[in-house]
Amino acid sequence: MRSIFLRFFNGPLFVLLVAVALAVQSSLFNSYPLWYFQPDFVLIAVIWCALRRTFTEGGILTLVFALLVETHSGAPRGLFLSIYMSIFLGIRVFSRFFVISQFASLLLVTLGAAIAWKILVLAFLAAFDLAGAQSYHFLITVLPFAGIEGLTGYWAYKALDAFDRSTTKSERSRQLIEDELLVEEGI
Amino acid sequence: MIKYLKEYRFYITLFLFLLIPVVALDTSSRAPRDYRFYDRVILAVTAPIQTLISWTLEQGVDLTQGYLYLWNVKQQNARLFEENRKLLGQIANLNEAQNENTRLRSILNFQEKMKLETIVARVIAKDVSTEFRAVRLNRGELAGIKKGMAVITYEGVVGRVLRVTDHTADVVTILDLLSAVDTVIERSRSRGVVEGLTDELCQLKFTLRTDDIQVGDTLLSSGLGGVFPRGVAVGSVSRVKKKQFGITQEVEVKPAVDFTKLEEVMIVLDQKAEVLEKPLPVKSEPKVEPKKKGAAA
Repeated sequence: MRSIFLRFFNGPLFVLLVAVALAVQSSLFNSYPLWYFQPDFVLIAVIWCALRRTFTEGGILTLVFALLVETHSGAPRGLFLSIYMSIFLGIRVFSRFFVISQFASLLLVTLGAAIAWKILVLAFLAAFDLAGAQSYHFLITVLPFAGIEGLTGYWAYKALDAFDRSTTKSERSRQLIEDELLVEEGI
Repeated sequence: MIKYLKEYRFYITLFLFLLIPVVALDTSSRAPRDYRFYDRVILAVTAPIQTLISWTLEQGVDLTQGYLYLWNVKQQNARLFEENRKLLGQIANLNEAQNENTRLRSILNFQEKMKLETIVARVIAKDVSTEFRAVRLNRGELAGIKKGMAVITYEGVVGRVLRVTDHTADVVTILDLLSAVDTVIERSRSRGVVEGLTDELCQLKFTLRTDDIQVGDTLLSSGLGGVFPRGVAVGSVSRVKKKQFGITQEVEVKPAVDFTKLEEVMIVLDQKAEVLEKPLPVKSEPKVEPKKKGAAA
């Protein structure tokens, strides 16, 4: 019963965790030049959702996370919703063709997703004639961003894995819950 | 019906996941997005954390700087009298307070000079994305801040208030891609619209090729649009590129405000206030009619 309760609260707690991470991200990396090295915790959470959640649950969480980002940004409405959803769907498609089971491959996906994120922002801004000199900004920020994202991902994925385990969300925990239910039902 | 819904559940979900962002996408409009109920709930959680982290960082920096300073002073004091050592210690303690006083005095002098009704707020966070250049302030509606108000420092224009909650306000800076400020060049009275370009520069748009613009020229807010008071410094021209043909010229502007060291800002409460002690001369024939961009001034 306790396991089911914890599992139920995994989603809301995950959202709260990301909200706190966003607050830390926007204030801890407030000063110049640290600003250029701020990781995107939401991107890490979206990648986690794409690979460790069901399609529906992961998609809904991605939309919620994107809304959180839009609350903390002066970006045009819907921009981050589109970008994070594109990343989510892209990784889902990618995971159909490639096995991303190892931790190292997860980090490679993070690096790729970070670069794709920057390209998508640039593409969306260009599509709406807002790019300005963003191509220059893209060139100077894309590598530090991808690097810091991979570095943060290394610790963040471990933390998220521990979080999923503690809230009985991991595959192994899910199996244990199912076994528990089967025992309770006397099967 | 339910059978079909179950059968095509994946495709329906996928369609919704694609539809929601597309419907929400509203980049064609520059109108600021108001906070909705859920935004306020999110901010009620995150804003105190941002304030706490900013405060902790500030205290940490002060403490470290104070410690380093005192350490240097200790080295020097080995060669000085006891009395001097005590005095230097006092100076070290007062140093930070003096710096703060200087900053606040500058703000006060500016307020008195400009005759503006303003309130002072502190920057507690920056935009989560490096592509956009908004900042969050620690004061909101309860302090009298409203959407669209001008935000300035004693150096010049910072931006305008994008949206507010009870205790916070988001400000879109003039460096942001979605920002636009109507300006006039102090020397030649040419007009143009300053828009965000990079993390350090803005661009002056809608200037005619024949307009007299030189590197080093100061740009002041024109007061058009009713957001920014007239005559506040916006920046200075850092580069002018005139092509042999064409209608306009490319002008880059270095903002008057140093955004890398932005700590305290002033929000102009009285938007009708006249800023300049010497009013700008009115031109009989305006040179350019700049294309307005949304709600920005």
